[in-house]
Amino acid sequence: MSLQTSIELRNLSLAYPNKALLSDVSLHVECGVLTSLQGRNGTGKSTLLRCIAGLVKPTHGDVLINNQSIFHLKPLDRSHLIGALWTDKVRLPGITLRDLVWMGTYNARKSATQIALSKTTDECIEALNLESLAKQPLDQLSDGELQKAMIARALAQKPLFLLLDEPTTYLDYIAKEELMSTLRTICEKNGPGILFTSHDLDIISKHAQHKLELKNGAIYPIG
Amino acid sequence: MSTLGLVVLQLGTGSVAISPLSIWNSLLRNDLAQQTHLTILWDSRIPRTLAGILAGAALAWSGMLMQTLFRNPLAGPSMLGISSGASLGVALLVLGGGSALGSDMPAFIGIATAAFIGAFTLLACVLLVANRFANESTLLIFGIMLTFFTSALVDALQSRSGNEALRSYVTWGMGSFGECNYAEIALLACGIAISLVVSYSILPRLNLMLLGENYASSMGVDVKKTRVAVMIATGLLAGCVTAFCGPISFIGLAVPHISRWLTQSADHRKNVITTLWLGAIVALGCDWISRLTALPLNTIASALGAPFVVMLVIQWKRFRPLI
Repeated sequence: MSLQTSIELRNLSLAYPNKALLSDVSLHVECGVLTSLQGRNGTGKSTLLRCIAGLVKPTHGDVLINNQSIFHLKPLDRSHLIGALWTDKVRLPGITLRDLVWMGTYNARKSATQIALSKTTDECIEALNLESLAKQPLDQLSDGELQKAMIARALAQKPLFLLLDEPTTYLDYIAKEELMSTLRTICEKNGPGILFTSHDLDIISKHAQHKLELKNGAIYPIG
Repeated sequence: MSTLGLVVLQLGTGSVAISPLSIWNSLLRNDLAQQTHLTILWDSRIPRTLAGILAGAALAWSGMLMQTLFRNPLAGPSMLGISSGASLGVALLVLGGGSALGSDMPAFIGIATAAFIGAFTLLACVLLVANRFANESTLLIFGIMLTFFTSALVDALQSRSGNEALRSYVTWGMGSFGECNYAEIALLACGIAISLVVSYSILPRLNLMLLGENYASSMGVDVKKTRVAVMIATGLLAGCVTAFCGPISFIGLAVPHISRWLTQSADHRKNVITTLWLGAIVALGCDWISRLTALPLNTIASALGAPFVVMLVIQWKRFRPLI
């Protein structure tokens, strides 16, 4: 994985039907760095993440990874570049935590062996310290455990970047600290670049290596 | 064993009772088989049983696909306007064209063809606009609105039709496995086989679709293509059944829930066989009761299905997580 890889927002403008969210923003988010994005409710943090993931088209501009427009890629190709945690509620009873993380390897089913996919699954479960819960059905997990399982699933895609929309929601203070330390370790081990949104300024100031704020349609670096 | 038991009951009971041994002899067409039994079984009860098994399995699996596509426990094969399209096709033939055909009732094959054309015309409309919609909820609303619109057209045709044509239409609407011939059963089997091949090819994607469109898409699933594949598979299943057996309610809605409840899992890999098998059993059971009581199939399916849906709503917490 190249450390030079970055997400490039090029003159990006985003808008709801009656509200401009971003206007003409250019920005680089580096691989291997834990980057935070803060901002008040309704400023468009989640929409920006969805745009970077290729799920929402901008009104103007482009999102480039390795000089490829994310909007010109097929979902399968995009999934090798971007993995994501959304705020959408997930209910999959009867499916174990390991099954869920295994789902993350969907994008490699045609190119990797079952053994390799199993190894990736187990490594991602281990990376999030979820080994003891691997066989637990999802409906028996706490919200915090499910949140970590969903991150492990995104990691199993082996993406260049992880977009995490409020990853510390549902977690208690100790779990938040553990998760952010784990994410930083994953980043630093030549792992994916992580862009996460949060309202927890304490967590951001303590763990983020690069801090951004979304305000009045523009993105500002902090600190 | 339960399926075998129901098949024996279905084949052996009726105006002429046939023992399991006589059924066996008749199936083998050996010298011990009585001509009366051969005629009853091969001309009436065997095609009816086969139609019940195939239609039940098809409706149940199409219900499972619809509930996954819409992530809605109350979705069923009728949600995309397939059943109402079939109804409109038949209504146009029987109620609209009935007068043009004179007093003769249209042949059943004519009704099946009209239902088939109606179902697939509406499915084609839905497919044409499906990918314009941002999400499944909008598609669901479109499907339901289309159903209302076609129902309005059917109502208008009913209000202006004669008693004979109206009776013919209502009879078709009650649903029956007893009108299928072997050619129609073969067509039904082909439709199911194609749908199952399509379903098998998208099986890994179906579980990802349960996570929601945003997750499925960011994990590499082409949501639009998967949506179209699910609709084609469902259209074939529900379209064929509605065309040959009439609009049969509740099996498609209720059976997927029973399957998930039995497997205690939303995983499609665990539910394929169970859903098909349960669909066949429920359809055979309803048809058997329908024959015993001389009540229409849809009356029995609804009479058994409605309390199930009521239980579903009352015990929402227990069932809700299973989709």
